[in-house]
Amino acid sequence: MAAQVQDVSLEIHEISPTEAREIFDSAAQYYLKMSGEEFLKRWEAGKFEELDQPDVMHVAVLMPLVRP
Amino acid sequence: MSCTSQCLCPLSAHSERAAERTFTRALQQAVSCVTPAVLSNWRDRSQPDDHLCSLLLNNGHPVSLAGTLRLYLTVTLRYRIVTDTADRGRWAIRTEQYIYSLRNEETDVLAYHWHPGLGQRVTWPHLHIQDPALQDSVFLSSRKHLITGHVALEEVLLLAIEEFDVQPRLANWRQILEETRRAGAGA
Repeated sequence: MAAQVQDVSLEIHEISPTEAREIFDSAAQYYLKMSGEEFLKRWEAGKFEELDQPDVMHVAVLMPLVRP
Repeated sequence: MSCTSQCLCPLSAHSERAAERTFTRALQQAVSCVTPAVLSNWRDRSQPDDHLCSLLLNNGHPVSLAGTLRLYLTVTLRYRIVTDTADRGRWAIRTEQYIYSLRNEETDVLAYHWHPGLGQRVTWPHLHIQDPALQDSVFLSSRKHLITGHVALEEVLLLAIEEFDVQPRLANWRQILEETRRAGAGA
């Protein structure tokens, strides 16, 4: 039975720089089985042949968390 | 579909912080219709003039949705806090990139993407469809970028509930999704 009331806090957690690095690394591991560092190296070298694959993009959109 | 290019939150606010708070709270309220997972937000504080932020559900990992199909949801978006073009003294939110996907345990099944600025050929909002039944198709594959126009997160949540049998957590989910979209999330 669905509840009638909102049961989740609407306050948004602000990610710290340390958490940001962990999140990026964890996402690269989860989606592509590589470290965040390895992802960045391969991205910058243009080595993702399947750049348009959704799992690559899941990590690519998180790059701002680890580099300006 | 909400709009065709960059999507500006229609509800502006008197301060940068208030505009952002309205936007992020509305999106949290929307996702809470299908999951207790929370959104978190990243802004590079070493770049104080850069008003570009990221918003992630469950730190970028998929969250399980209740329902017979055992689907998972991912939500990641980038937004910018901007001065309201209609009223220079006020602030608004402009969505600049998003990835909303419905996944099975291994891969995205439906992935709504819009990620201009990542150095790719495709800059328009699009949909990737991935299904084992398409593996041998010469016509349709997950690499195709099917044009969609701007898709709001609320629309993906509505789709999940109405068409993919996802069980809503809140009885008034439809009202919430309508209200948050109208209130200016619709990211």
